[in-house]
Amino acid sequence: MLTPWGIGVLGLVAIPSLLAIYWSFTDFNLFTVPRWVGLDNYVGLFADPVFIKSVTNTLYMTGVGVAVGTSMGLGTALLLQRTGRTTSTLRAVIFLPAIVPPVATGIVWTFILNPQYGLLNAGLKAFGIGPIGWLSNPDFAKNGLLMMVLWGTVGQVMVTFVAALQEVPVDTLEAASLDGAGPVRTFTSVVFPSLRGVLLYNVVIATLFYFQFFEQAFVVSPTNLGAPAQSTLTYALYLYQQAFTYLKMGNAAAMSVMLLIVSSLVIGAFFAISRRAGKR
Amino acid sequence: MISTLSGPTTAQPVGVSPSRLPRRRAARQRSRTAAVLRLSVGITIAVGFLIPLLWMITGALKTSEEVTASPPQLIPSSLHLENFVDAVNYIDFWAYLGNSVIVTVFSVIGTLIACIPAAYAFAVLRWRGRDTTFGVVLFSMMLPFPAVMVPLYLIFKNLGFLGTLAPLIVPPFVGQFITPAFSSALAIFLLRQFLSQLPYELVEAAKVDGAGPLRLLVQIMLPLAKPVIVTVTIMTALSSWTALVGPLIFLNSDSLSTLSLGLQLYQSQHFTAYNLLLAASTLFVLPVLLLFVLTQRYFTAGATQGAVK
Repeated sequence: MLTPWGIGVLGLVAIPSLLAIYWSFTDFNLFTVPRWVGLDNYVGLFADPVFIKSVTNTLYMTGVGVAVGTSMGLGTALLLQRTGRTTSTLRAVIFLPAIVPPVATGIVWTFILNPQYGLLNAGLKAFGIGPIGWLSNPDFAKNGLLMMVLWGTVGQVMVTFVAALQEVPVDTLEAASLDGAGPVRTFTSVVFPSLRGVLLYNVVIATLFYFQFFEQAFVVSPTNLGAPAQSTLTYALYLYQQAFTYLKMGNAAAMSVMLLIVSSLVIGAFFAISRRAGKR
Repeated sequence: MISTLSGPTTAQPVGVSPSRLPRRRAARQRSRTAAVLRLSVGITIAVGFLIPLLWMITGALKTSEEVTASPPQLIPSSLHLENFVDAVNYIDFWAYLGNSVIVTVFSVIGTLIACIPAAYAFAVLRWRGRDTTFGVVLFSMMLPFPAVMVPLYLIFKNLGFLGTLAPLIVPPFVGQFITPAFSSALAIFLLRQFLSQLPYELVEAAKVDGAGPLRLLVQIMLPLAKPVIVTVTIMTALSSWTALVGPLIFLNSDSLSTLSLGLQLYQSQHFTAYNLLLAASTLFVLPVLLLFVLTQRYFTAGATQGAVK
């Protein structure tokens, strides 16, 4: 019963990972035979300012994206946790962007964020702000990109929190209210502790998402990846560029291996923490 | 299964002791004000989330001058439905659509064929090393695709898959459907979760009746697992329909493009015909929106299961 899956894991996960590890120590361009170069690829990458830029860009987007996305998801969940027709319709509307294809998201948002005729700047103008080059000014481009990603992810985070909130036992809430706990106190000492698992899950999933963030970043500037001035060049975009634009398979493999290691550490930490929490 | 978008409509009792009636009335007044406030904030946020979609649809109905007017023209002068015809004629729409349908259908079939038996093996059958092997599933559920995309490209090249749709069609059949939104590993996880919650007496009863593991799966468990199978089907179809990375890397010719990739190519080549671009996007998003409206609860079931369990 497991055979097809076993073949898949072996052929399409295990072997590629091992190949990536081997190739990361070689120099080749698809047409030549891999030549052993030791740690040259790794050393070369860390001396490459564009690589460093892709790492810092990714870390910035991870930090801001995870923090803002998780708090917005939790905020909307708390706001709309009640059952009922109106709130569930509102939740559905906020969730809706999650199913919009990234290509369409990228197209619509490039249009909305346009400095001249974009809807956002027209709105901000009413408050005397702007015009801001949301995707054309290197200082703002990452935030413009984050806006469109958050549009699509907040709803997903929200529904996980709503599910967890609805599992908080009603009698515990009643007991807290009888003991004279106000809404803030109830949240911090009764509701929040029961959200910890979902919170951790969302932080980990979002972190891994931003580590491999590619699609919308590709769509906003497909002909000049990372534009303007490499401000939106994510780690995955640069990996793609190394492999399929420059044909530096060794460099791409080295980047794959580093992504693999860092992601594995995050996943490992997640399982370790949730197991410990489960034991308590 | 938890469905958080359209949950049951049970009102939560307010826990106030009956001896403090005047205070209770004041509290009720206050909570009503809070509820109104909460609702209006909620509506504002929801409208904000809806605007980009509305902007896409109205933009698809404008002329090319209206769509780039500054300040923006909110409502199209008249409904320029011909934009949809132009957009379809402008690109190889039907060929892209055909490719998208083929890839989506095979992804769903492959995922169900590979993942249902695997989930069954993890949930019901007892064998040595089961939990360790399931650890591999959990791990691969979160593994970043970019980490393996370069080796995969070369493996597919050596297998002669490049230049065909095979790189997107074959992996689901061996339980390796991988997109940013959904994956085979997640499908196995959801299916296992469901199957392992079924009462074990079912298995024992089937054994007494002399049913083998295959009959037990097909005749008893599959009918019961219908909701989760529907969830997996919808999630696979949706993420296959919308995926960009896979098609971008493995389908390097225009005639093989899926709609996702085709739209992307169209965007990079004709960046200026915004109304047509938005019309094409609308046509691309429409089936997904329809699917969502019809099967809402399965979407959230897929989104929440991993988190809460």
